[in-house]
Amino acid sequence: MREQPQTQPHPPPKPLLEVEQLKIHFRSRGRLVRAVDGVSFSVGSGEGIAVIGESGSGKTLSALATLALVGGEPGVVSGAIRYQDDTLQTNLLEGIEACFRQEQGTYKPTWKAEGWRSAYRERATALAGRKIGIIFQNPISSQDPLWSVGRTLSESIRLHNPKATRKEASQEAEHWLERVHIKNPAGVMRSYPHQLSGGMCQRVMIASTLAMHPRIIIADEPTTGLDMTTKAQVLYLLHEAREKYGSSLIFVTHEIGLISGLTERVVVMRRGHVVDQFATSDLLDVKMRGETLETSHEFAEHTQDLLRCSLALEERRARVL
Amino acid sequence: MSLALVLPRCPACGRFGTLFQRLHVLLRENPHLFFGLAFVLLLLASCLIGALYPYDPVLARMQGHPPLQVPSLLFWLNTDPRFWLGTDHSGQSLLILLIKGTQAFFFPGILASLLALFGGISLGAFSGFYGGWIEQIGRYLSTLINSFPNLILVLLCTTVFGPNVYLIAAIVGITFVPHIAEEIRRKVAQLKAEEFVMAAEAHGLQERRILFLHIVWLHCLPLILRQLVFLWSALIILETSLNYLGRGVLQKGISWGKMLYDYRSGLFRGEIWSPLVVTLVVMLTMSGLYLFAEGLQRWSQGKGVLHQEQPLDS
Ligand SMILES: Nc1ncnc2c1ncn2[C@@H]1O[C@H](COP(=O)(O)OP(=O)(O)OP(=O)(O)O)[C@@H](O)[C@H]1O
Ligand SMILES: [Mg+2]
Repeated sequence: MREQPQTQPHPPPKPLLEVEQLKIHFRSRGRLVRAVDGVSFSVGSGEGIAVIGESGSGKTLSALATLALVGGEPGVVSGAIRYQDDTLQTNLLEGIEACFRQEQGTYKPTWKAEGWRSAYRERATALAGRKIGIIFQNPISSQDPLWSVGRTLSESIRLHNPKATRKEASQEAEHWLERVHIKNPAGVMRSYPHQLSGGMCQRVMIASTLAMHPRIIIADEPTTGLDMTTKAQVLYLLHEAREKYGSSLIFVTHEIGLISGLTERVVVMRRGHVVDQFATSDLLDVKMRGETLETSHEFAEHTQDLLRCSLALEERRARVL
Repeated sequence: MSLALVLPRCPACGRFGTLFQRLHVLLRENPHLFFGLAFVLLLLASCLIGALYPYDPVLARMQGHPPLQVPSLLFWLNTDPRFWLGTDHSGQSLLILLIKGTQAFFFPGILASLLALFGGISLGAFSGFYGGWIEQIGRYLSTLINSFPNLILVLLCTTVFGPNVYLIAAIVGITFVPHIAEEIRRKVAQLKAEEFVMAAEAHGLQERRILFLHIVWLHCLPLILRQLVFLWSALIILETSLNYLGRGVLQKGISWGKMLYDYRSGLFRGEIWSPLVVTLVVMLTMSGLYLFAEGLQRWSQGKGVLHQEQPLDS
């Protein structure tokens, strides 16, 4: 918590998900990679936060750790991931201290680690879909290529509501496709992922995530590779999900221009650390004058760099148009 | 619309098409699978006919003719289809004997397939998905099974336990476990790194369901079928050659190997017609099965990219 600013911009509601001092390490060609090195952030119920930062800063990994989807050795080595709502309270990483011992700055797995990992996975499966839904960056490859979109959707629906028959599930699937503004739901239901465009597929993924009524939606760069119009539509869907279903949102992105209106708080990451946190409204009066950044808020140095780059890009784009 | 026979229906237009259309498309897209499938269906039909009609020596024997070794053209024109392949030295129709003989492979084949499937799928799927010590054990088992010479093992077992076709089938089934396991392990290990598996996990799907429904059933099915075809051909070859060698697996009843064994003595008297027909049928069966396997291979390769049409954006 040391990197958090003293004054909280919004007094956050009771946090739904709390990640504390998360560390994820890998061994890669004999070297130790500290991909995530002590990250802490939290999301309240109904709150939206944006996670920004340069490539390789560990944004995706931190998100994946909340559902035990991090592969590789030794993986998650320390920290706490707490989820609490009215029905379920759990710390996914419970008991992690006994599984890794610290040795010259690195974490060595002990014999308990293997069993602990399956327990971690089991606890995460209880959260997956129903409590935390993840929307991935590449919508086409995140669906089974040999299953039609309709079957994939029905599968998530029946997972959420096991009593539904096949027919009911497929009707509900069609209904959800309508809700994400797909005009020809029956046709889309029958098609396979590679037959759809990226934007279409992303909408299907959002539908299948929303269909499980998650309390938290994690969107990991959901708009990469989409054109401006489709981008706007996807953002609108996320916005709508927050408005209509009261979900919290963790929005992972590179593009600072997208986060206003969608989130209330921004977390800036760099090289596996959280380097800055501020309210999205602080971004409103940021301007560029020549090479210097004009702002009323005191940003961390790295955030200033990010802002400068993104504003310079925007300026250049404005000149082109 | 392509390959509509093996894909349940055309996703683009949603129609099934008539059977004739679908067969036509299959012939055009994948002739290997077409002819292989036809051959396999023929074999299955033979098994069924053999099972439904008990062997009738009166029906099978040509009446009023001396045993005919080599059918002449006149013979083909004059007699009924039962004798189109000619008769053996005792005057029995070769065609009926051959059809009846397929039945001998049926239940042993099913036993062997079940054994190989159960062992191969569980070994391959778990060692591919979880890796680590499970994979080590799987590898050890595979090497152990592979290190036994197949034929010698069978000969040994028939000597010790007496001739029993089910024993041979069991051995064939077990020797195929490493092959199936390895194919599945490779495919599963490749697929588990795919994003859709992670997405399925993120949706809260049970690991077992992802592994067995999505990965094994949907993605490995053509692969498994292919291995099964190889298993059946191995079984047929083994049964035939064992019987020919006189390690009589079947003391009574009719099988292709038994037929070859019976005609062996005639071979030295120059009666080559009947053994020739049987040998040719075995060869034809082998090539039919391999054709089927090849077709399955092509089917599985083309499966992911079929129906590539315009994006369906509204
Ligand atoms: N299994 C692994 N083994 C070794 N290194 C890994 C592994 N997974 C991720 N990493 C490393 O961890 C770092 C952080 O990755 P991550 O995907 O979280 O970055 P990111 O912030 O999401 O970047 P981007 O914006 O490009 O998506 C990367 O440098 C990556 O190389
Ligand atoms: Mg990422």
